[in-house]
Amino acid sequence: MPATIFDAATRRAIKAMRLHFGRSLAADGGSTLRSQRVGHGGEFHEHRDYLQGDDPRHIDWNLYGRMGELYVKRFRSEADLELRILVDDSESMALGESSKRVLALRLAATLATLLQPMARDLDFRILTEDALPLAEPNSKGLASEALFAALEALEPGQTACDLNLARSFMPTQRNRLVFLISDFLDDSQDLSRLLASRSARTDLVLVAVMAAEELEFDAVGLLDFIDAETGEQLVLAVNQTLIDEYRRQMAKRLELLEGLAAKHAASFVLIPSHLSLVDAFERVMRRGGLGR
Amino acid sequence: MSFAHAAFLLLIIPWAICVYWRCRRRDRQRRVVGTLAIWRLVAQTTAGQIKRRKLPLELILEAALGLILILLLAAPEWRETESPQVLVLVDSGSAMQTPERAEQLATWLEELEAEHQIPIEVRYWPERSDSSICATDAVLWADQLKSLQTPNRRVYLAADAILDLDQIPEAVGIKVIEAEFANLGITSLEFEHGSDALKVHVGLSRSSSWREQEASVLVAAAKSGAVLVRESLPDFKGSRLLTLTLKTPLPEALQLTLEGATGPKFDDRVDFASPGSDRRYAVVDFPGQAAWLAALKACGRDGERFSSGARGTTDWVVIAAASDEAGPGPGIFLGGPIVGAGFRLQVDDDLKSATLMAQAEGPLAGVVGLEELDSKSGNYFLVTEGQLEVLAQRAGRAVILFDRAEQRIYLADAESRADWAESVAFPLLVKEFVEILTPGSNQQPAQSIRCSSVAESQGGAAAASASRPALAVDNREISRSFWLELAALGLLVQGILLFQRRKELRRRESSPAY
Repeated sequence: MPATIFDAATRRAIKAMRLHFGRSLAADGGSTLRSQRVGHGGEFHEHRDYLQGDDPRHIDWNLYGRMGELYVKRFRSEADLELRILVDDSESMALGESSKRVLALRLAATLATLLQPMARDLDFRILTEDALPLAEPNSKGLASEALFAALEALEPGQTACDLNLARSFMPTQRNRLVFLISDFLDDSQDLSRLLASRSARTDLVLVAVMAAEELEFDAVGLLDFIDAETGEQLVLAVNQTLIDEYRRQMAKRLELLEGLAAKHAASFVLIPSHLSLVDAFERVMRRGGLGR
Repeated sequence: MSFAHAAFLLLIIPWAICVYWRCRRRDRQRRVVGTLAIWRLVAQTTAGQIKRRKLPLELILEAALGLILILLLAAPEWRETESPQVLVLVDSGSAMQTPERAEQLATWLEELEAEHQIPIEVRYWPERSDSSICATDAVLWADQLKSLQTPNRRVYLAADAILDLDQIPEAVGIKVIEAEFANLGITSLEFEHGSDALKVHVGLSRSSSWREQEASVLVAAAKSGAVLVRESLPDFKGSRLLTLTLKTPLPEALQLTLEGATGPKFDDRVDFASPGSDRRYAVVDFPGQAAWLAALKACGRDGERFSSGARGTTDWVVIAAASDEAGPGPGIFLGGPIVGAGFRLQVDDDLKSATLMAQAEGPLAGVVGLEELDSKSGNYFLVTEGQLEVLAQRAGRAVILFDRAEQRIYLADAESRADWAESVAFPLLVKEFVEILTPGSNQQPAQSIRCSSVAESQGGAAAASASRPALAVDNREISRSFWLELAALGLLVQGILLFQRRKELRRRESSPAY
């Protein structure tokens, strides 16, 4: 069966990105992946406002003496990192003219391929009830081809995404960088609990892959909406009023997700599914505060 | 309102299902979404702003078109102005006119009126004054009944059991006022001339309930009553042809009578003239149905349907005459059963005109120049103002006339006596079936003269009756084939459009969601 996700062009793009990104990191002076989580040790990165719940040990008391306001210090810690990539491959990810699933899997594989050499461990999982380890947590150097083949062989929509499942990956005593790639259409409470459960040593990057039709819905008429995951139906006579309201609600939801991420010092990156893989990767790296 | 093809109304059921289904689904587009949560929120937020979508005009028109097509197929007939009718057609044959049967009939009519709660129209058929020439011909009854049936009219038939009731359409509520002793009747006569004898072939028919073992047929002189021949009837079922041999010479007027051995004497009697061997006319190959139709057309009675006799037989009376001599001459009236009356065809001395004369009442018809007549042309000519038409002539003299008003055929018979009581009748005669023989010659007709009687035998009256359920059976032909085809075509087009629409919807749905 010919590859549909990791076709030749995609492979070439990933290869090119690996070369380019590898040189870029090398030029950056380190072969290890830097994270922007606040940590002790490592290179100072920036100050930020003190938020309730921040560890008082990270407060810059000198600055408080000068400015009279509380700031915490943020460091780029040398990332003796475990890299975890969790991908939502549920039914809803298969939607979209430019499939969210395709871009999500390509992006996840790219992240794994490019960042794995800089991480101590790589754990790649499709986020399901039966999380399938595509690479053992301690395995070194997962071959790209093997990863591609494993992802290519996945049956689309055979799993259900449950953010609660991702919570088990959040607590850790080790430095860990977690990419959670999903459309985040589940209950925001789940996401909130997920964020709250992560340990201070976990850097979390939420990558929301959304279809353009989800972001900019524009169909009118009598529409029979069917929930891709539950099969529930909702019939609505959609007019411009509803479309405007939908867009408002969608924007509100994205703001909520972004706010939640910010509140828990996680990164939130929105990736429209029509973006190219390179653009998507760069956006994740840039907005996720990875690399320079 | 009634429907000629009410069965098509059943299409309303699938039509209603289709309309309901379309109303439910309309042209909904399926949209698979990642979550309904946002749309539920949108629906809640905009609950006051969502206008309930009315049925689209397209759907309304489509449903209306479907309904109209179905109604067209069912061929509605508006009869709102007509109130329901009940028509009772009464066999006016002599067998039905006995006091006992008349009483039964009256009782039954009262019951029928009480049942329907509306006045009942009673018609006698053939007219009471007529000889019931067709009384034994159920096929003719059936035709008559069919012509009387309308969706708004329930037709009952009161007849005696000698009719073959199976021939009557089931839509007719049949009331059989049956004879206790069942019936035995003369159904045909046929003469066969021999050198010194005349053979009379008598057709007899009996009803299934006939139990009389001993009965006889006798031929007697009409005036003296002297029995010329008596023949016992063998036991038989259905119909039988019995041959009586009469030695010539014979009296001019004869009577053929059925007589029971022990029971009441039958009054089934046929009076007929002694058919001389020198008759100059004959009727051959009395018409089959096709010929009848042609004849009726010639007489301006297109569209009427007649049977040429019971089940294709030719048991009809045909006696005609011709005369070479000018001046008044005897004629016989073959078309009507006016007992005792005689007719003659008055042929003028100049042989230019002829007048049909009633013996007692004088001329019935005017005079017309016979030079205008030409039987060979196949046309008939007016004798008087629209009343009489000459159908055939011989030697310049009218021998067969058609009374348009009465729908009767008159034949001139020079040899018959003017006071010859009629005994035979027929509804129509067409010249093609009359063979004119050379007077005084020994020319034999191509086929024996046939004679049939409609006289019915009768026994004692009894109250035996039977009735069939009066079912509504529509006998109308499909006369709206164009509309039917149009409606069928419309339904087909609608079906194709519906299929195309479904296909389009499926195509849309199969495209990537959102």
